This record gives sequence, structure tokens and C-alpha cells, in this order.
Amino acid sequence: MVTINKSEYILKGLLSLYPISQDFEREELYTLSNEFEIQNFCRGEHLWSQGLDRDNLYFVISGSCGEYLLHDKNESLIRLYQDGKFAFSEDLLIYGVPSETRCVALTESAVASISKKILLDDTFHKSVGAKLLSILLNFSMTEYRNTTYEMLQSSGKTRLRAAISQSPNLLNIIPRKELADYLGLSRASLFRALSSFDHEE
Amino acid sequence: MRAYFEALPVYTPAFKSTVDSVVSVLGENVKKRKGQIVEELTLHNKDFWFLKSGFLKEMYKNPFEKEDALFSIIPPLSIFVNEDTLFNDLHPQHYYTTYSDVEFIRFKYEDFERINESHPLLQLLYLSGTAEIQKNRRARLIMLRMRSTIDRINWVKNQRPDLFYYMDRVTLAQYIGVSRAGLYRALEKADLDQK
Repeated sequence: MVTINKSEYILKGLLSLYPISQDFEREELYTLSNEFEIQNFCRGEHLWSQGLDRDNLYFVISGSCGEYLLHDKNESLIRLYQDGKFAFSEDLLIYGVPSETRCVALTESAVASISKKILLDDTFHKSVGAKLLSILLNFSMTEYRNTTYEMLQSSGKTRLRAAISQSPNLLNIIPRKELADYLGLSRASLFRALSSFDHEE
Repeated sequence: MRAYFEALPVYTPAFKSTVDSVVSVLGENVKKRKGQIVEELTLHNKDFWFLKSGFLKEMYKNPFEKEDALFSIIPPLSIFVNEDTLFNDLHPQHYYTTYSDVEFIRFKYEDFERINESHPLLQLLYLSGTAEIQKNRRARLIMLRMRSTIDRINWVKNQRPDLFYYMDRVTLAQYIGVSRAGLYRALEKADLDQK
């Protein structure tokens, strides 16, 4: 049986985002992928907290994580990260300001991380680190745009369908309660939308 | 546009010469009447656009409905871009229609790159401007997740009065992600509760 070691998995993730234009970039990405440190998170444990915290770039190897934004004494789940996806607070990593969000493991998760300092280390990853940050910024903008498309759907069923079209295995990666929060639906509406899906199938 | 940059949280007097360089290369004002598709903005371009006056509707093809849908309303004194082209070098997926008479100017991407070489602080202005857009998007997503329509309406009223007092009801319904009927029901109920 062929096994893939975890840094290869991270490299695969990096290559899925990063368009290689020079041969040395692949090599630098390979070096970079070996710099990630892997940690296991239990459900409810924080990847990052609100305020000043570690300015890390995270890569979810397995499990799922959710990013929450605090507002008017309430919290909303604003982004979901599943295996094979990068997670980061753009406040901390890109804009260098205290984070308005926190990110927690929604299920038991294995997550790799690298600090901004190592990412931008001039000696090892001279060109790829800075380019990667700008790719992540674009990625984050596009992701917010895609989520806005989902949330603009006025019926629960269409909203769920739009979310599934963005993340096909959505229903398998997060608990129903978090999914209802994420979609801005009551649990009853979510179950109605799910059962209408079942009827269609 | 100078005022826009000066209002960014990151701005200090150290940015003055960078902003001067940007302002000196801006294109001519483009004026459009209400109710038109703005062709200049639908072409493949990575340029930065600054809306001096009026409101633009940012539209997209909704894959789940028959009609094109409103993505956002751009208020005056905003910078906006074709994200598909700037970020992914794709043809713009969104298009813009004038919601009122508008006036806008172009800041060409080539000029951005050229000025960035001599004034690297421009990159910080770019990041700060992007951070503001992200913040607005994040805030709007919270509103879109509110379960009660009247809460969504109140959010727009309190957080975006610049848009609320300008939008007609149909546009408001699209902006907050509810059907027209749902919006009218919520407004009627709020009226009854007040009485």
C-alpha cells in the first residue's frame, strides 16, 4: 500500500493554490512544506483566538474547524475549514492587526501550522512566502464572495444547495447544529431542507 | 480619491507622496446616466475604479435562479475592482449597472505596478483598502445569517444608513437575501407591532 507522508499532503495543498511559474518555486514549496508543525486538536480547542495571537498559517490535514466572529455579544460561524484546506486569520496573517475572529476544531482534527516569520524567511523561501501571502489574500476575498452567494439565496433549500455546491462533502464534515448556524437557518428549517433533498433523491 | 486614502486606518503623512503619485495619473471622469450597464467595467481589466458620485449595482448570474441577482451596492467614494480578473485573470463574472447617475474614474493597473516600484507604501494602502472591503463583507455575512427579516432590515438601517435610505424595496430585499413577499410581510408586521 502506498502511504503519503503528511508533508507531501501539505505540499499537495500548497501546489493546489500556488501557480508555479519557475522551477525553483517547487523546490522552495517543498522546503516550506517541511517547516509545518503538526498538532492534534480536540473538539472545541482553539487554533487561534480573538485579539493578538499567533500569526500562523494552518493546513487542515484531517477533521474540520470553524471560524467565529464576535458581534454585539453574539457569535456567528463565518467560515468552515475541512481537510485539505488552509485556514488563517487574515487580520493576523495578512493585515497584522488583532484578530476579530477565533477558530476552533469542530471535530477532532490534525492541523499543520507555520508561523508568518518562517513563511517570510528570506533565506529559505525568499520568493514563495510573499507570493503565497498575496495568493491567500485573493483566496480569502474570493471565499467571502462565494459565501455571500450562498447566503443571498432566500430559501433554506437553495441556500443549502449553494453551500453544498461549494463544499460537496459539507454534510459529512460538520455537526448539524453548526451547519444550521453557518447557513443562518433554524435547526427545524435545516432538517426540512435536508429532508426535501432526500425526497428529490 | 485623496480623501478616500486619507480616511484609511493605515494612513499617515508618510503616505502623502504615494497618494500624490496616484492622484496625478488618474484617468478622466466618466459619467453615466441612471439605468445603464457600464461597459467599461465589464471588459477584461485589472484596473482600480473609484466611484466619485452615485450608486452602482454589482450584479451576478445566480446559478440557482433564472434572473441575474444583486451581489452588492457600491456607494459613492468607494474603490472597487473586477476581482475575477485581478485575482484569477479570468473574464469578469460580475457586471455593473447604474442605480443613479454616476461619475467614476480609473486607476490603471499598469500605473499601480509602476508607482508601487518607486513607492512601496502603495502596497500598504492596497492592503488597508482590501481589509476594509473584507470587514464590510464579513459584517454583511453576519446580517445575511440573521434568521429574522426585520433584524436584517434593522441592521442595514443602523449599519449602512448610506444604503438604506437610498434603496428601493426590491433592491433592499435582494441586498438582505429575502424574497419581496418576505420583506413586505416583515415590514407590515413591524408596523402592526408599533401600533
